[in-house]
Amino acid sequence: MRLRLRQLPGAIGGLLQQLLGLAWRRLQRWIIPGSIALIVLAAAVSIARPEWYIPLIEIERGHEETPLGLTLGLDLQGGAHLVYETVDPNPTQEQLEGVVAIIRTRVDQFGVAEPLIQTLGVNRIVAQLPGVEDVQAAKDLIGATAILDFRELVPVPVEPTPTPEAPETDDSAPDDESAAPGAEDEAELTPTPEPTPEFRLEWQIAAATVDGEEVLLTGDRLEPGSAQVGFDEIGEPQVVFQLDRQGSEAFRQVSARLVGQQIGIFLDDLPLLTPVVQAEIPRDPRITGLELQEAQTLAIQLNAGAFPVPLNQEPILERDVDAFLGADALSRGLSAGLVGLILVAVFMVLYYRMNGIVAAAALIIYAVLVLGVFKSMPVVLTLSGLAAFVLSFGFAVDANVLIFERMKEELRAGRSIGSAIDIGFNRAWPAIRDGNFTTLIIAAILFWFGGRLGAGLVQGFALTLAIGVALSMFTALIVTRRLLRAVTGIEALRRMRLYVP
Amino acid sequence: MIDFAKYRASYFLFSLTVIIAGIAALFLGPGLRFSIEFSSGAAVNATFLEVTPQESIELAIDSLGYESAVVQGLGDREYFLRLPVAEASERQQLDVRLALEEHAGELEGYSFDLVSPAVARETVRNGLIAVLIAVIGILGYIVYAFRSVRHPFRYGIAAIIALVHDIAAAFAVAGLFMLIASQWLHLEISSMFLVGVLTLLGYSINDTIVIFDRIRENILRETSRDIVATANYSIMESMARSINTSFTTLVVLLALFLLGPTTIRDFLFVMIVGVVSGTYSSVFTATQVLVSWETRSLGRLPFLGGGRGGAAPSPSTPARASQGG
Repeated sequence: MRLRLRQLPGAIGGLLQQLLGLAWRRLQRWIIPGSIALIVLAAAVSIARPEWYIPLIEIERGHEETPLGLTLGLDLQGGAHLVYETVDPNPTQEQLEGVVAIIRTRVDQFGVAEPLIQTLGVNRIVAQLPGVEDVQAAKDLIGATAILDFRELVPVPVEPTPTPEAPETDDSAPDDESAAPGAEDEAELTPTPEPTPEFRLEWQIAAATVDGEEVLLTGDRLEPGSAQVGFDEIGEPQVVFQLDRQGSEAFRQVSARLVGQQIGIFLDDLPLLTPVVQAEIPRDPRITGLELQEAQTLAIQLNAGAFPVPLNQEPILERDVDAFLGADALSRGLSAGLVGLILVAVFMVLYYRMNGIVAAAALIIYAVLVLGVFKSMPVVLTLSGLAAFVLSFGFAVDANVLIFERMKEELRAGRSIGSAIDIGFNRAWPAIRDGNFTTLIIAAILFWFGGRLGAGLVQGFALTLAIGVALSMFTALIVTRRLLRAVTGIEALRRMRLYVP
Repeated sequence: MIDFAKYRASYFLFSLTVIIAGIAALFLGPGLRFSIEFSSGAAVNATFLEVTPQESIELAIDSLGYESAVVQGLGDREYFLRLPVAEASERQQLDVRLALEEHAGELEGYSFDLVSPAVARETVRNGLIAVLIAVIGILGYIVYAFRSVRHPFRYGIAAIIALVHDIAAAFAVAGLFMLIASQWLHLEISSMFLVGVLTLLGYSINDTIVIFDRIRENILRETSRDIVATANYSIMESMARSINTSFTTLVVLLALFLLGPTTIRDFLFVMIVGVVSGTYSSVFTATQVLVSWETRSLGRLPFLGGGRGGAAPSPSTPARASQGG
């Protein structure tokens, strides 16, 4: 029994080997056309402009200005990478997602192209803002604890030295102005309230009594995401939103009380809009008399509201690169890569002659394949990824070098070129396999390590390394071999001296 | 045939000398700082439009009242600053920039990195875990790949010793550089430094595997040869490959170092030292450790005239070398 069990892995292994062998023989006839198609496709993709249409492959759009249309990471195009943490170390996933949604809407207002906001681990949020120039403004916007509420003007006793009220301070003036078109008769009410000695009007959060308790009309009463831009009967833009049950009732009471007067929509103590209530609003409040642009902004702001769980204002990780340093790093990296590629190719040709020419061709095909994969996945190219790509030119020829050295031995031993190619490849295979597998192990570990950091720096390197290893094996084992076969098929190129110096 | 294995004791001695000297330099000289990623803090890379003296940068930093700050020139117009995390860290990026522009001059390029202590602690922990998993993973793979030879575990350990050698060499040479040339080269133990160490692990093991693969093949094919002769033969056979691959890799690394961006120099430095050391160690450390283990002899030192290591290794140690396969 024990013996049989011991034999089992061997038997399964043998069977697998047979099956693989069969599959391999079946596959073999597709290798040449398949590889050629792949290389042609990769070449097309790697030089393609984003606006070109290539069947089956979706090239990342909108990077017309980058070299070769590559998708660039923040460190190469400039931008801010911010990681925030919630105050509560264990928020629920929904709360965290809620914060992400709010930051996203805030960042959208800020006008950043293609921002990436996502959760990271249990209580972190990463915000990547490509191309942002005023990082401080972006951070202020993200970290701000926005509080949305509805307010009404309430007479309050004047204190001996009256402090200016929020809506009338200087910095809030523009907001008032932008709100003006929405509020029809604002001029009557916004100026400093009546100079009565005892009372003046102040914006206070509107409240009503519902089911015996006082309900404040704050942002929590808004149904999340319910604010929408719509159009009324005559095609004027309007914003419609929904409140929860108690909020609806409170809003109905408040609106009934304020018909003909202003109601204030405040974000972070600043008035967004102070429209005049036209009539009692029983349900689904709507705000009319807005420009389309204003309506859209208001809807976003209503939806953004406050964070479901408070966020620490200081980022725990920050990485800002401006556009100049990014572009500088990119151009330096690319020129270093080009020089490296040329030097390696020249060395291979000088040292391995005919084989070297084949290896140089394979190296260029390798570079094209990597670019093709980068653009079609698409892989975000970071500085470290670029370094890994350039470094991989050195690695990529390794398999070729191993094979050529073996070939030389076989040629010196007196074999024909054809059989030297076959034996060279077979003998070199175990070393190529073991070396590349260990590199893949390293790449996987680096990818894990980089993921913990929440920065693309290490992960970009790991991903590029892994893609490089896989593609360099493909070019060495398939492209180089077929090219060599093709070259040695030409009578004039079969002279031994071309292969063994 | 060159007898590489004969003087293996002297290779070990050489490696130890370099490593000990380098580590001593690391502790006695200026040493290697951990970057903000591992020790928390803020790092600034500032490129000015015009040539700017270091004093004006220091003036700008003093105006912000930092107690400990490091200013390092990377060129006439380019500076690296290392600052503690400010009280109001959410404004630090802008504050430093404004101070530099006020006291030192107009900026062409500016980058700002900040890492909080909590994140730094995590990075240290994860970095150690990453290196540990890498070493275990590599050891496991080699033991598996070399299961057909008699002592696969010895191959794995010998390869790991070469790995440790290469990492130690990277730190040692960095220590020597910081002692001699710290004003020209700015190095820190950063996450890119660690990426360099891990990539170096892969490179070094690759180089060792190529030789071990030859040994494996030769042992299984030529059972009559002893391990010393097999090792020498295998080194000879793979020499051209080792040198060529190291050379092409060094060429691209140097191209990146000289032409590429300065921000990845930590990584490139580790890799350049590592490629040289990795090539050396696969021949003179990994293979020689394996030979010493299999023959139970350290070989001899040339200047001691065969005193150490007992009798001459090759003839007197057929050493159970009759590997069955």
